[in-house]
Amino acid sequence: MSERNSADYMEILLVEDNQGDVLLTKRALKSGKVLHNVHVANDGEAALAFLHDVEYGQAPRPDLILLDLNLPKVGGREVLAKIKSNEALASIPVVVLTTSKADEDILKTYQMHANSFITKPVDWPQFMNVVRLIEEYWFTVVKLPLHEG
Amino acid sequence: MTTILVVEDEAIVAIDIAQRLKRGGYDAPAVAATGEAALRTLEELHPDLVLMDILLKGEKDGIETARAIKDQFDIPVVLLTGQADESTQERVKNTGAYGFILKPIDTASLLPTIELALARHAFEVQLKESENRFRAVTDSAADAIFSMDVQGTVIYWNKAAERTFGWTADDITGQSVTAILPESAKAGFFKMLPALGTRETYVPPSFMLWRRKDGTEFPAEPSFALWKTKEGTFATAIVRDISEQKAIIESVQAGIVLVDPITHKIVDVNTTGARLFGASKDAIIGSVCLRFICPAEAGRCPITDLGQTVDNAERVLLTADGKSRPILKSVSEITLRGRAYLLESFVDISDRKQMEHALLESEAYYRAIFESTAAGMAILDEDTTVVMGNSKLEQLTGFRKNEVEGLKPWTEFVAPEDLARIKEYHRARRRNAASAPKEYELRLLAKDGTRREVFVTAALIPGTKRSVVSIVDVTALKTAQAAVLEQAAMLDAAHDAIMTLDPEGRITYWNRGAERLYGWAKQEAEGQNANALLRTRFPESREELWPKLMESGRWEGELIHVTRDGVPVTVASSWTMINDERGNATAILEISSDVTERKKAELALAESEAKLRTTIANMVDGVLTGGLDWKVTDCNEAVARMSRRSKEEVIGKPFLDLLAPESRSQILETVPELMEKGTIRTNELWLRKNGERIDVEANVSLIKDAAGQPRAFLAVARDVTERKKAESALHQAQEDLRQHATMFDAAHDAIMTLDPEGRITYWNRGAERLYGWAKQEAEGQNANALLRTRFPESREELWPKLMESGRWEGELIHVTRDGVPVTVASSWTMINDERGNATAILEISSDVTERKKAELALAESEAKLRTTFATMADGIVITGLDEKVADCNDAILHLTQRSRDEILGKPFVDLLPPEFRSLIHDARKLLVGAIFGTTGPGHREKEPVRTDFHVLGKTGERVDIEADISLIEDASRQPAAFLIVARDVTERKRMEQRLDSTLADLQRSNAELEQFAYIASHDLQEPLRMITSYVQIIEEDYTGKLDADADEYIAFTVDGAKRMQTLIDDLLAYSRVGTRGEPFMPTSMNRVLSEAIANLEVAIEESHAVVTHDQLPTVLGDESQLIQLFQNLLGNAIKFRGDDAPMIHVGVEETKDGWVFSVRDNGIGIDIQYAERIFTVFQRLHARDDYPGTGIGLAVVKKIVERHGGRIWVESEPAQGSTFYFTLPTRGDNVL
Repeated sequence: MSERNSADYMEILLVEDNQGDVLLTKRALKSGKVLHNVHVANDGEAALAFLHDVEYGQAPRPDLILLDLNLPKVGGREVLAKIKSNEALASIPVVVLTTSKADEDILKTYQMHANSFITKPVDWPQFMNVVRLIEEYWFTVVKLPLHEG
Repeated sequence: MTTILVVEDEAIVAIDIAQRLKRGGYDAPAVAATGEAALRTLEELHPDLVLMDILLKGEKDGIETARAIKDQFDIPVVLLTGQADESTQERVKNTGAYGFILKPIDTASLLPTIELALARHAFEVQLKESENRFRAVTDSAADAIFSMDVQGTVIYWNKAAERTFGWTADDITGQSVTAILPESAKAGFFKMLPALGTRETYVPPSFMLWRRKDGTEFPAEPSFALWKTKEGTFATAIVRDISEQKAIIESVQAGIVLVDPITHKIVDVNTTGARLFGASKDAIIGSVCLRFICPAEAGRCPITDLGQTVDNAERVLLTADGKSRPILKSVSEITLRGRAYLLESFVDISDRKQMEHALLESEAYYRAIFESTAAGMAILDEDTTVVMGNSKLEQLTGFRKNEVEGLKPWTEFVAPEDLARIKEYHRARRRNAASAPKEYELRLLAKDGTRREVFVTAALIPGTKRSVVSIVDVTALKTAQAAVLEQAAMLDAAHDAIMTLDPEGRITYWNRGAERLYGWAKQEAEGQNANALLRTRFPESREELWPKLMESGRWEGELIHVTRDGVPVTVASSWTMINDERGNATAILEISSDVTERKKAELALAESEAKLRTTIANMVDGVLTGGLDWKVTDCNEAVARMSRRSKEEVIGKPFLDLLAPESRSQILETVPELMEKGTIRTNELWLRKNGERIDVEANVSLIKDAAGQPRAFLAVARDVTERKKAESALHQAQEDLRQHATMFDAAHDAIMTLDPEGRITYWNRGAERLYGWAKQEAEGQNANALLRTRFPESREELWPKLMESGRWEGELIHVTRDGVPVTVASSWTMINDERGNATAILEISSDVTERKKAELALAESEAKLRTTFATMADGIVITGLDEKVADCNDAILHLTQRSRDEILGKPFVDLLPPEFRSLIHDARKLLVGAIFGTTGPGHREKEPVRTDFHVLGKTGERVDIEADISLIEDASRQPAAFLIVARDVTERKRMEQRLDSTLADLQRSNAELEQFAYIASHDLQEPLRMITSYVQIIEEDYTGKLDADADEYIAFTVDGAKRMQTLIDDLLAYSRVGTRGEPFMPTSMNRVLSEAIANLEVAIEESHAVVTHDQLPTVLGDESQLIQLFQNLLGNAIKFRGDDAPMIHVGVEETKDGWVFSVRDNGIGIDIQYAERIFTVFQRLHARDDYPGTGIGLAVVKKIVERHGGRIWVESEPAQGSTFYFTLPTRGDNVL
């Protein structure tokens, strides 16, 4: 179905306030095989603004959103709710990437239709491994819907 | 619609189940959360099935509830369980549940299980009903019914069988059937049993003999039915006792045979039949009937079809020895055991036949018979001339034969009033024999002109014109008949029991008297055999009775009949034979009157006479009888004793000889009075043989005969010498008494009299008892000296009082003979002579020592009590029932800061703030309620009511008081007052409050600490992750690019960061035990252990550890924490292993304190001095390089155990291994 050009860059929206994590995530993504562009939003507000632009064709539509839960200003859960309640955005896979291991967090985010929930590994090699798995899963294993515009 | 009650304490699960059931087409109108609620709901709802969780909150779990349902309701139960292990299944089975369903519930297993349980229950109900029906039928059957297996072991035995055989079902069940078989029948019976195997029912061709428990044997007809079950083949026998029928058949004086109508074989024959056939029963039974009966029709039976009957046909019988006998035979059809038989009965008529033959043959014989018959007989010619007459005719007519034969016509003997009728008979008989009566009555005219009622039988002699008449004198009979007829009307009204019996002894008449006496109604009695009905006992053997009755026509005597109620009645009975006109006995008339009472009276009289005789013989009084000549005819031993003579010396001698001469004339003077009155009382002197005189008082009576004439006298004499003496002594005493009348008021008291000098002149038994001095010791002594009397007042004061009023009362102390002082309440009375001079003093004293002592003790005890009361630290208040203060001690004044005056007489509650107004009132309800048992279990009788209140001091400061309020009862147990014991608990209250707040602070602080640890460790993660990750990236990017030192530093940094990570993780886990625990659920420790083992799989494999365990129980707990618990303990056991591969055993033991789990290893062990320390956070016993770890594992373990209400400890020796023990509470239903 998808006539995605393999030479196309995958667009990734990374919503993360911790610059350390932004760097780690980017480094991990870089070590993978998939060509990609990472757009970083440092808080929820920025994320929503980016998505607003996407809706109006002002920004590239992300193929994957990596979303931290603990964010300044607008929180990750609110961002998730906005995405999933917006028909134009709902189909974008959202992977929640957080330090939390709490069962209640896991349950809540899935109830809000998050596509994955991943606890950030403490260890760098493991973190890299996780990000690679995300990349591999969402960009090579899974077929994603094709969007015009 | 099928209704199901769901019992489940998890509301969500219950709703889920109910919905599934509804979708499955069931009605689930109610859900119960506990076993108790389920049982209550069952009583109203009566569902078709109960679906119930095993684990329920409340007192009863599912298993217990299922048992209760099984016991109380017939409702199937299906249990729900989370566990499928065998022990659970076993427990479920034992409840009688109809199935169980594993949780989680899925519709696919739920509905079929319910369907199956309902079907099984419905089947069981049907089975039970069918069994009950079978039992009811067989138990009420009149025939004995029993079942056995093919070996003959009895497995069922009904009520009739118990009656018939004498064995109870309990006795015989499991026993061999041979117990009810006679020896002779056993072999045959067991041959027959296999034969049963080929048919469904089997009826043996003839009856069988059976044996009762008492050894007696009886015939009965069995029929057998065969049935097969999975367990094998069984036979049921129905046995009908036919001994009675048999006995009747045997006793009948007719031959009886039972013939199979198809084979014509004789199936049974009675004794008479066998005798007539001249063969044994065995030889007869099985033979074809024609062999013996009706041989003339050989091969051709007169009875070819059933349904035909023969009545008294003349046939010939062939005996075994080939002789023929004429018989009268009757044949009728009879159905026995469902099969039709021919019952042939026959009587031998060969005698009659022979006689007829002989009569025809022998004129002489004929003549002899003619002569010897008891009736008068005559042969009459056609012209009525008497051709021949017998000697009885001579008697009847008074004419000699030769005066009559050939000379006189018959009509000459007929009374004129009957003549015309007789002549007509005579003529008619000769025209047509059938037209004249064969029997008739007439009045016979004798030679002397007397008339007799006669009964005549007349018949023509065949082939002639002569007739024979037989004449029987019925005059007596007629008279009797008339009398009987006359009586007949009276019979019913008669008080006596009257019945008539036919010759067979059957009752043909039964009057109201008989009904009254024997209790049987007329319709019940008539037709019964009298002896059988009344169980008559004859005083003489019936063999003797019958000849008497036959001979004289009458018998009189006493019989014992038994009434319907089983009571024997003695009757005076008279039996009269009633004969018909020909003198044949037709009936017996029995007239009986109840003499039971008379009999009893006779017996009682005899007994009473015997008693009287014995009494008289043994009487103390002399009894003698004499004639009117005053000579003694009899006397008893007492007379002999009194008179000092032997009985022989008294009897036959004049009565006056017993008297002293001076009394004789006096006695003679009383005779007229005796004659007149019949009884008199005399006083006289008897002169004993030894010359002594004794005073005698006698009652003399005349004994009269039936005509009222005096015949004898009876005297009952009593020796009153002693009494006379006593009387005269009494008389003397009375004289004395008159003087000292007051002395005898109360003999229990010590009484003495003193003369004016103070000497004791009288000393009674009471004084002897009290003072210990005997009468003879005391009398004559000076009273004050003897008794060392102490007076309460000086004698100077006492005397004037006594003199003045003649009386003094007061307490004295006398000293007894033993030196013991006795306090007496004493009253002194002056006794004066006629002239008013004091002659004596009467002292009456009663001992009041004990009373005095008691009084003293009481006073002492009161004093003690009062001191205690006054000095007690507790405040004490006594109020009346009006709650007003009646008394109080100093302590309460201090406590309430009030003066005594402010308190006394005021209501106690006035001292208290308004909220305590009803304090005493409330306590009173409890206390009084306890007495009358209305308070309920909360309060026991006599127990004080504890209450808290406070008072406000004058300055407004508060004093907290704890008080016990009790009820004081008076002697009659009526509430009389309240006792309030109050303690100042202000300080204690303050301490308690401080403790409470400290405790709350502590709890809050603990909770805060845990929360802090959680948040801190969580937030520490974030920066740490940065450190770790970036140091690792540095390591990745720059290892080998910097110098060797830098590489080492990087390695330390990475290692430190990782350790910090573990530490934080562990700390987080530790804090989560308290803050993030799950609620306790029933948790299988088996599953917990296997989960922990699975988590440690890698470590176990690497170390080649072997973990074994006991069967572990289910406990109430937090499953994930319990997994953590085992995981840490097992992890330690593996980590701290010795040189050998780890051997770990998890054990459990149930103790009164709960489950004690143990984890035993063969590791390096622990020095016992560190046994406590190892459970503390961050405590390590080993260098990190030897055994890595944070030192939190056991602290977490300890926290988990404590959260579950248990304890943990370790027992160990270095190098020997360690055993960690921890306890978990047992819950009632947490069983293995």
